Amino acid sequence: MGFVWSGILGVLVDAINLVIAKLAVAITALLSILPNMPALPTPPSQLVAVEGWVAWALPVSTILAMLVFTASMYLLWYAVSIALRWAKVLRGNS
Amino acid sequence: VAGRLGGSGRGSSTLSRLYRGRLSPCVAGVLVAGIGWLALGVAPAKAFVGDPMTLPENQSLIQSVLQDIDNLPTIPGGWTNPATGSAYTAADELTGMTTAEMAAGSLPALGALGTVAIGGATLYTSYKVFSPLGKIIARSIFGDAGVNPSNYSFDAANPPFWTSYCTTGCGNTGSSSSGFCGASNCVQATACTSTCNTASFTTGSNGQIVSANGTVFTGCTLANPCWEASCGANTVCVGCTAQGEIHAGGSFSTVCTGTSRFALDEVYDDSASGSIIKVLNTGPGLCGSAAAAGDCFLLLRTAKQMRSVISSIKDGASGGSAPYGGTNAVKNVDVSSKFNPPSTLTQTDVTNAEQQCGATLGASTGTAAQEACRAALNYSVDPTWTPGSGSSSAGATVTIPGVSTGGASTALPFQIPEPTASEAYLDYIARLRALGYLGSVTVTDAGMGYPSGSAGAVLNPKSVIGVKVGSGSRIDVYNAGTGARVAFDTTTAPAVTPGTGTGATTSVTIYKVPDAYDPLANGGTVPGGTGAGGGINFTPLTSLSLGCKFPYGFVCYAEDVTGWFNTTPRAPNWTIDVPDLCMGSTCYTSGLVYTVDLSFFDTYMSWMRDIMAVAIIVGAVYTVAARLLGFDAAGDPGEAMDEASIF
Repeated sequence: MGFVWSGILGVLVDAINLVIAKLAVAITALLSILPNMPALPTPPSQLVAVEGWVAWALPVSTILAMLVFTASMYLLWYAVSIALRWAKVLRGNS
Repeated sequence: VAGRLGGSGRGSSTLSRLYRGRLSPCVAGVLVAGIGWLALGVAPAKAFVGDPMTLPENQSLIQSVLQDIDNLPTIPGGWTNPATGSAYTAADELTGMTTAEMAAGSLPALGALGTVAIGGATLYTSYKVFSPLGKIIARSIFGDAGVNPSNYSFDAANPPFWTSYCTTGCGNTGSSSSGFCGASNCVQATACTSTCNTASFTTGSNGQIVSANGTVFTGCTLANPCWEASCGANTVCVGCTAQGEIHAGGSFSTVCTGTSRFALDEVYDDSASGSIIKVLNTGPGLCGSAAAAGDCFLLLRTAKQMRSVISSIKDGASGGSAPYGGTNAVKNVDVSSKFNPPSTLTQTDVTNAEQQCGATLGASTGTAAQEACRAALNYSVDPTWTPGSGSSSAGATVTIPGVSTGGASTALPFQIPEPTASEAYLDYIARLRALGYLGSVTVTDAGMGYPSGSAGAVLNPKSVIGVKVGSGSRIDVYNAGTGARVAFDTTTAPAVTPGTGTGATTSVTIYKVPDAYDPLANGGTVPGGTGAGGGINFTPLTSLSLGCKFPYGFVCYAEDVTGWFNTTPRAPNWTIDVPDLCMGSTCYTSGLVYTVDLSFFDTYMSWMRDIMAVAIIVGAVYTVAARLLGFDAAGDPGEAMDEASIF
């Protein structure tokens, strides 16, 4: 009996995997239609030197990491808040 | 806290508006740390050791290495110690480094003090040093040199110190406070004092020396010359009017010090031979005979001072000697301003550290500990450095395993990699190719005799279960008797030599699960139908490459721009080249070049960056938590105090 159940479950998983794979193919095809963004120019060497000086005076990597963390948390909260408002846990737009 | 104590509700106060204007703890942390940084505007220069390091920029690294005994540098395994003929031992390294550090009188280990404790103390001290007394205290703590190198004048009681690395023919090796004059006349301090011939020069209108071709030597007089033809080409005579003054002209630059002097002729950083500075007297030397190229290696007082000189020469506007361009070109540089002692260490401290770390190992190898100390420091600051490549490291023949010292370069051998669980043999072959293996691969079906239900029995078809290199023994990934996964012993795994040259591995055999093998019929109970072992697979979605497409490509821009600023910290360093001020044939300023280098702040700035990072992290996390969770522990400080009572 265990083998039968295992086989049925395997077929379901295979079907889900197939849907996921085809969905990925569809997304890839859609993205291939979109135009590429032009690449940014290479920063001048003088700017690179000054950036090193700034990083010498300030913990730039930490500042950037915290900016990314803060932005990510706000975006995550924005997404979660939609579900919470739908569940009537939150009210209003904030 | 103010909100809790007061809470009188003065919501319109300036402080309240600031707070409500989102003066977040994050920003406040940066401000506090920045104030601390500005307040501690005193050079934190501290002990360092003159050393035979190869890169002038690495002084701060050397300093930090010596200061932090929790992170003693180590030597790559397999390097041969020329002092013993065998590999360096851990005891050699520990003894050498510890002795050098103790001799240098360096700071105690930062790790032992604790970063948090340092941060708190520094912030507190930052406030205190606003006062004049605080500045004096800070100066006494961090060094006596101040921040302006030009403020330093030579101390006759503490003269520059010379160390000679002579490999052949030098009459004197070791250290001296007056220079050397031996068989090859490397550098000489006291001769030529009164034998100079000034006939080829005339006196200028203001008493200066003027050469036959009209060149004016500022700062020199015939009665007190600084350069004499009779001393030979590229040589220097004495008679400087002040200690530390610079006289440039002809084909050399002259450094005059309290007790010794020599021509900085063809001075450059000789990294290849492991010396800091190399002086080549290509013509008759101070004592009348020439030194052969490569004979003499001089270390002036401390490595950092000489590196500053070299840096100044390199950054000069008129060439310089190889490898920095030019041949016997004049380098009119302000060398004296580079001779700033950066610490209160005595010369004995520095010399002891140098010697303990192998600074006098030029002519012969030192003790195992000395060799180990020097090798460890060099390798720590420059991973590409290998000893034994120059004459200053005589006898330091080093054998590095796996690296060919002659002939065409070849790729390094690698140990056969371990097949991962259920790794398909095609993927494994791709890994071998990526590592550089170019030989043939033979794929063979394995006999699947593993016990039902074991790890080996439930493998997918085509999975790798064994590998063999050449005619060597087969390495099984699963135990033939139990079917259990076998630990891949990387210490005994055979090596694969990539490439097609002599000795290259030409064949690898892979043993795989047969294509028709059914794991479900052998105890496999993993769901997923024919995709046994996988379950729901989100990889196609998670591995999507979104690229930088319109309209969401701005994210790529943001990543690029932030990447620009996420660079390695680098101390501000620039050169100010003052144009010559001449009227007619008289020049009042000539070749003035000033180099600003804040690298002596490196250690201190590293501390400050760490402190600011802690403040920023705590502030950012608190701010996010407070905004998202409604957490407001401190309340509004503006409600507790009236700004009228403050301002």
